[in-house]
Amino acid sequence: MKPALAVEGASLRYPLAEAPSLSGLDLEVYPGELLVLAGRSGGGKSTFMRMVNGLAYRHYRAESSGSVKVLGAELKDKSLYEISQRVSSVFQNPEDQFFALTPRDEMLLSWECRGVPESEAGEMLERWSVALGLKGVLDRPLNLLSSGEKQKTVLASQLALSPSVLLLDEPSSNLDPASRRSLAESLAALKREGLAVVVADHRLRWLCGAADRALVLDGGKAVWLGPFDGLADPGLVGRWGLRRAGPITGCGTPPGPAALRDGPGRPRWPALTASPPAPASASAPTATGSGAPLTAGARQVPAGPPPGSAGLPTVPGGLAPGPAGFPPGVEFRELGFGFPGAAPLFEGLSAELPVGVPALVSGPNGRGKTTLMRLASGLLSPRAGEIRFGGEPLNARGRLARSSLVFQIADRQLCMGTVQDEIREAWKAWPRGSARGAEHGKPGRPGRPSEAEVEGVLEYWGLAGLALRHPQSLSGGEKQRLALAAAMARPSELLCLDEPSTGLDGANLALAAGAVTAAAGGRSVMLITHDEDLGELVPSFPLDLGGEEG
Amino acid sequence: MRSGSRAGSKPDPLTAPPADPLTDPLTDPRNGSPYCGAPLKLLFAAGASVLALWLNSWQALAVLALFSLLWSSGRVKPSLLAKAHLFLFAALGVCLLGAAYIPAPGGGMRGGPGLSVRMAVLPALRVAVSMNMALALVMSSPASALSRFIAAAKLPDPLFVPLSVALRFVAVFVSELPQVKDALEARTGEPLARTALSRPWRLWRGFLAPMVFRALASADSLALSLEMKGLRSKSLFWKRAGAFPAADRARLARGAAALGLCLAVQYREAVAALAFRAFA
Repeated sequence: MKPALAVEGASLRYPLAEAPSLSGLDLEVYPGELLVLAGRSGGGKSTFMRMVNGLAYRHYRAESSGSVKVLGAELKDKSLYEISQRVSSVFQNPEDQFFALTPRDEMLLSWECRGVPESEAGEMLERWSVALGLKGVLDRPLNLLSSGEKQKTVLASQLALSPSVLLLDEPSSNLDPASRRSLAESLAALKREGLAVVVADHRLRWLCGAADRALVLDGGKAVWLGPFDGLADPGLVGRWGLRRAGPITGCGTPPGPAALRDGPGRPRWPALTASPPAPASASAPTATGSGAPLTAGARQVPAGPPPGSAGLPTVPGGLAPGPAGFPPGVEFRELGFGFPGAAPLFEGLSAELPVGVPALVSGPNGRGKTTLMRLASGLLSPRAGEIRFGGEPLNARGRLARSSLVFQIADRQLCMGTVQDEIREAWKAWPRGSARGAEHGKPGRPGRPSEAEVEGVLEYWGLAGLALRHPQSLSGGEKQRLALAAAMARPSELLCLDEPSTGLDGANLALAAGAVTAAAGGRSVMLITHDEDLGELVPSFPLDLGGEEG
Repeated sequence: MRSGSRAGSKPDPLTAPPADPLTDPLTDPRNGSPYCGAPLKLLFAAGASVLALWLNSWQALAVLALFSLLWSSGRVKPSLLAKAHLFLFAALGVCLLGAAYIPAPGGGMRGGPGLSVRMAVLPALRVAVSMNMALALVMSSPASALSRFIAAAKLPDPLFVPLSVALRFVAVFVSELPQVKDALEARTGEPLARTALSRPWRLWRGFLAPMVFRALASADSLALSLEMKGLRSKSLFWKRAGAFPAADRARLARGAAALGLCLAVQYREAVAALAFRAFA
């Protein structure tokens, strides 16, 4: 069989880079195959994607050698537009691919640019919006969609035109478990229809049942190529800084649709709809109040309470106390909130976030986890109820002064001239002579940190060699670690972390988990993540917001 | 089905059912325009901005600013409009304060007394007009409709592509602002307004620096997205005819009358003389 993607002796070096980012890569991916790219941050996964979708030489002006062919046609001498007709890409942040303001407009514009006749547009829109579950959000602003809906919009824009190769860069980073399952099912269905799929991701478990082979990249070189199951080998995991690929509950071969296309060039009615979500457990506990919006369809954290939290009680429904034996920290009392013109998001929500153990906030995309974080930290004010810190009810300004946050996209939080100044700036907020807390295992510190202390923090996070770099010049994973380090260095009674493991490989995930656990020793921690790997590493108690997933 | 709905007798816009958005994806249900009114908005926005530069009477500019505010308030969320004005006047206030104390050519400082109300008010009104019109244009028009209209003008690609990116960029910038504001407040532990009053220098690092980086990154992504889609003037080939349905032509006439009224306010003495002569 002719390979859909053939890479022969490919090497690539970015302008001004000392070493090549990829060297001597040979690989073939066949139609109907799903290849997973794994490896440490900076190993070359994203560069491989850029090489195949043409961005490396057309946009980043990298020097390259060797050949990259799709169905036998060399890509290097083609324009980005020509390449994108054969190779579809879904970026880590789908927002980077949008030109329009709504899913409807985005799909129509993409199709028109690729020559779809106007007379077919209406039918295609109907077909794809139903197949991907986007019909209800076609005219909603793209920036208000959940991460899963944004990804599906990109998929609909591109897959409707029958590419040969599909590339996905960290597609699971912000997806809830149901959306990940839905995506895995869609990918399995697409490969059965002959599409070659390449997925670069740190999280591997969601791909079991869909992935065929895996390629581990380290330092720009292929260090291991084999069946996907081989990634479960502990030796391989430890050696190349991977995350575990072992199976997760409910992960099997997805029951994808029989056919996606009815002809060589034109897609048929696509049947990519996710399988119906599992019925909610009758005994599933929730950390919610008595209001209807929160209790409807509530579910337990999908993977169950993390093993590290064994012995900690699960938060019961109704007014939820924190786990016993921990001092009180942040407390929500009868909280009510809804955005103007929308249905109420929270009604009578009561819960406790004690000091000593992080609260693992769970719920499907769009359920209000980030909104709850913004309420707790004072970026939003509740419509009803109150939020207490150490028993003291605080207004938004008071909560803001006592909280530190890490947002999903770290770029906006980094504003100093160097990496070390980011830490220094955050650290200075500590009152002079105060106790520093348990993180990094050091005793009290003055208001201004010493050079050694800043170096210690950077060393812990693996950023010591980058101390004088501009934060905005770092890679995504490095920015994420820096934002975490700065937020934990800042004095606060509440630490809010929104998907903190995005872009972190196995080794860095362990670092982040250790720091989060230690940080919880001196304050309340609100941990929002869909990452089961992180959930298993951090001893925590679940705070389930309920709601149907997917 | 699309042509059928437009070809028959003219439907009453108040009673006619809206076009099915799925089978008629490009048509604005309100006026049947394939461009969703984008050409009209683009013409108004351009016309009002040029007129704002031309007018030098504060009364005429105030009337124009009022018109632009009324026009945009029906197309943009009031909260967004209010925040944009707050941001604009805060920024202008800082600039004007700075301008009032710049070094004078003869030495020393040129102080506040030299700054007339006219110097402060006219630029503020001009910027307000452009901002209102730009927000209404970009936030209420599909990007494809705007690009399609520009493409219909047969602009060469070196003009078409940057203009498309520029029009889309306004919306990206607007959606970035609250997120950067949240990040700044999380860093400083206090509301933005308080930081602006107590430690305004922190705004440079905490607000403007991330905003500049995000703006550059967003512009880069937009251009990249456009390139990967293959968006060119010739690639937009749907519905090049019929940019101005009857409903839009009536709106155009009303808009032109409003702009004419602003000109009349500017040249009110000449207008009064003409009117007097005509009636006398």
